[in-house]
Amino acid sequence: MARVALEGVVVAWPDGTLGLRGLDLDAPSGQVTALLGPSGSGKTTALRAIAGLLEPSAGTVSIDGVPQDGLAPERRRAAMVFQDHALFPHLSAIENAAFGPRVQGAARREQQARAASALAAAGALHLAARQPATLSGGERQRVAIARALASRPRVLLLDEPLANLDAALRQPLRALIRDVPRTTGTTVVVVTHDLDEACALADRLVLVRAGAAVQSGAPRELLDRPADAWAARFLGATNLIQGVWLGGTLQTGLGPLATGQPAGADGLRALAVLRPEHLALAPVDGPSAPNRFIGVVRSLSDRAHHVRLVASVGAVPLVVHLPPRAIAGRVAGDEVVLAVAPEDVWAVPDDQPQVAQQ
Amino acid sequence: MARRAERALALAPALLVLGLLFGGGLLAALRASLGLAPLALGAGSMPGAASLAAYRALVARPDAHRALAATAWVAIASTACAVSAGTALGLALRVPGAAAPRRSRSPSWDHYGLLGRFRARARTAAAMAARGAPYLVLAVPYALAALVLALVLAPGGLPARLAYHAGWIASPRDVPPLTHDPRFLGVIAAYAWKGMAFVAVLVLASLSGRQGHEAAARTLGATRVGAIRRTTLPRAAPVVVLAAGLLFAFTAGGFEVPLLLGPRHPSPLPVMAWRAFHDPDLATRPQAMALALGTAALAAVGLVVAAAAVWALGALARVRRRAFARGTLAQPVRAAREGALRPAGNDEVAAGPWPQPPGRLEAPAASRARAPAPSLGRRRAGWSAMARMAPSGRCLASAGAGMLAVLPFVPIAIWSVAQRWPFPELLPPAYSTRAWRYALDPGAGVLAASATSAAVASATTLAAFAVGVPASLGLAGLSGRWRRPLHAAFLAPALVPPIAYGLGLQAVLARAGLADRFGGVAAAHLVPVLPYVILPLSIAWRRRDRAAEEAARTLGAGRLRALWHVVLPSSRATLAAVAALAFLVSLDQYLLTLLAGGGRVRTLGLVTQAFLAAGDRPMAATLAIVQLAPAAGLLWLAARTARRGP
Repeated sequence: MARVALEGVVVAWPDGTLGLRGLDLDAPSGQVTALLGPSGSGKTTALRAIAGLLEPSAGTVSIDGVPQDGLAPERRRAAMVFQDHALFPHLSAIENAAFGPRVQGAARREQQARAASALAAAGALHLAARQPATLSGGERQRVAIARALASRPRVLLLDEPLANLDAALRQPLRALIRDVPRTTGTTVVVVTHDLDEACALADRLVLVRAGAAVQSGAPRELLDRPADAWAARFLGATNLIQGVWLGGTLQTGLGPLATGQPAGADGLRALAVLRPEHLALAPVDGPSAPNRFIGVVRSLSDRAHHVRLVASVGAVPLVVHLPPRAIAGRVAGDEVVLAVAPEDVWAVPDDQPQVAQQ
Repeated sequence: MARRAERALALAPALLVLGLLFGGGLLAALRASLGLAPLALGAGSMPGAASLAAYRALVARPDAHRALAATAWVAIASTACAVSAGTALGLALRVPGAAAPRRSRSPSWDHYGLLGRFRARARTAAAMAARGAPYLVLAVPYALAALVLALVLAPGGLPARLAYHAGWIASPRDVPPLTHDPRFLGVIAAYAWKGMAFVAVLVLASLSGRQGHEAAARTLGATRVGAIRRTTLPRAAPVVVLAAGLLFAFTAGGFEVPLLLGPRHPSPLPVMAWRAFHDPDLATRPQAMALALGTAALAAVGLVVAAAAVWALGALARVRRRAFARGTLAQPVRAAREGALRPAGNDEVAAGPWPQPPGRLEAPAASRARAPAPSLGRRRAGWSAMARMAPSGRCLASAGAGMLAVLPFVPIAIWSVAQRWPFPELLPPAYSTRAWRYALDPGAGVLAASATSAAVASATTLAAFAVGVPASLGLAGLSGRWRRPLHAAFLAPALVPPIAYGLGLQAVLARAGLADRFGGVAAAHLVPVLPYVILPLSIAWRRRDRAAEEAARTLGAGRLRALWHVVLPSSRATLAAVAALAFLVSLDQYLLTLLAGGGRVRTLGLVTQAFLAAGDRPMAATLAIVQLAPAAGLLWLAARTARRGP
């Protein structure tokens, strides 16, 4: 078991730009932690700093409370799976997997046993004799993960492990990665820019923006309680409604909104975050309740797992994700009643410029 | 069918040119060596039946045995030096500079981080210069390299002066002779210097974009040196072995370097062939031809051994791979099949938590790491010092390697402006621009010789493109049984020593009325230049991204229009690099210029050698710099074009 912690890690590139600006990160032992953020936010740089492939300009990387400053990558036991796999092209899949045991000085039989075991765990044993050049993207990914697992790392670092893979291949690889901490006790840190992937893989999310952590916690916690408007947008909350706190409720273009959080001071501007999946259709003649809005359907479009409905409530557009059965018979122009539970409404500080009012 | 005819038509001109000049030259040499050609006539003899008399006479000559031994010694020693130094240089330069984060903070007065940026730019520029050094040395013509080393290594050269001031020697005579010495040390140094650059460039090319593998190996537990040994070297090994074969073949057949730097006796086979060919006694000409063909045979031996070694390396890797897989597919796989290990996706994936390796606790250097970490596996003590080498140490190694490549030019630059430079002065007591003024004087003939060199190289490059570009397109489109033989046919002129076909080629050119003329020299240069045009271009065409060409076809362009408007313009960088290469290969042809031009087509190389032979070192050094300028300029142009992209 190994806990990975980054404290105020700064990586300054020679041209003066900052790859990381004081990143704090805590990856608990025996869990999967995902670094989530847009491209160029410093996720891979953080992973390389943990692996020891680059030395931070400032700050500390520690594993199990032991600072790793100046420690060579091979002594950290943090195996990394690269985005382009970096399989050794002159070695077969089984030799790739046996590389770690080999450089650790394991006996030949142990090398073979560990490599085969890791390949089997990754569902890639049938590829043992194949050369990397003959493998597909998914097969390479499996061999790369097996190679890392065969080295028995304390920490497994995965850089975009499911990128460029089709849906059929993602599911078994997801299961494999999720099972790694349980079966081997290895701490896993995953880098991804895909929200779905991060939620599916991780016990804990760290949201990274411009080289610093914006928010961290369990995936549901981040989704339901984003720290700010940027986090809310990045985490898929498409409905951000401008409002002002007044008398304990948030006054918005939808009307007064009850929230599940302590009210802000009167006059304080805020954005109400309404996740599309938290909005639901309510009966038109149902009892009066807070957070009910009457709107007009503007468009309906099918998605793989839901239907995307866009409705106008007054001048405010709302995006709603509904199960296909829930919108049976509705068409654009229909009037609908939308509702959201107060505990599903979350207010964050307003980062948008205020419109000048007459 | 039409496509096949098109390809044949594209390949025909290049095949015809090479058949006439290269094949014709070899055939003429073979016929002459067998006593079948009028060229081989001795006084009062007539051509008759084929005879091996020339070969028998050579076998009986003791000096031929000594020449063979000298050739083999030079080839083996210079190849060994070049391969070891070149591999080390390539490895030292493999990581692009300035990739690591900035460690030191800017001083407090540097509010805008200007110092840091300046440092970063300086580091990047130094790294680029170090990486460019091998390319520059590679572009130096062999005759020029011999001249440079003749000036550097001659008694009283800069190393001897430094040794004198260090108190190691009392006079230039205390330094063992390095030029014209019976051990060929000067010749070996010249070949090793150029060969080192050749190997370094090939190693760099084979390792480009492979830094990820070393990083992956490090995270799996390999040390810095271990990662190089297990991931980088295995990738570079076949290239290095092949380079060794090419270098052996080239040095075995090399003419100008032993002629200019080697002793008169014994002389290597190519020089002996040259002297026998120019012997007033025409009866020695069949032996000259036999010697030239013997040189080619020796070069072929080196290539065959290298090819066999590459095959053996591959076979060994395959055998080891199979053995490893066999061992693997015994116990663990059975266990996996019996259910002890299950494929991913199931609830129980693998065996339980892994035991930690029983490693000793190793305290890291107190100044760097603050806490112990478990050690993984064995460490090789011999490598540990190198393994600890910090990135700054690697930068220093790169800089040192770059300097080694460039240092020989320093005394050349000084000589070119020296009025006189007596031993043991470290710098000339008096300077003069006499050599430069003479070189730039239109009446002195140097400018005319420069123009002739440029004209020959330009004409050769143009002609090589005219027949080479269609041939490369035709070759790139081939996939059947003709592909390998045609590749070999186009590669052969680059591998066969010029002396082997040059002597016969002179007869071919004489019959065509081109001997001792500009056209003859350009035609002779075409033979070694064509492979350097056809083969790289055919590889580039095969690997090109066809999407743009297919898009042009879907927009209504025919194949030729797509080729003209899309393929060729999008390959501008490749074409520029290949043109620069062709130009430089032409400039490098000292022997063929002598043979085809008969001394009447005076190129810059010939004029420079005349000054060196006359002992005018400032003039020779000045002309060496003039010769270096086009190589450096073309390299810069090719690099710039490549950076800018199509």
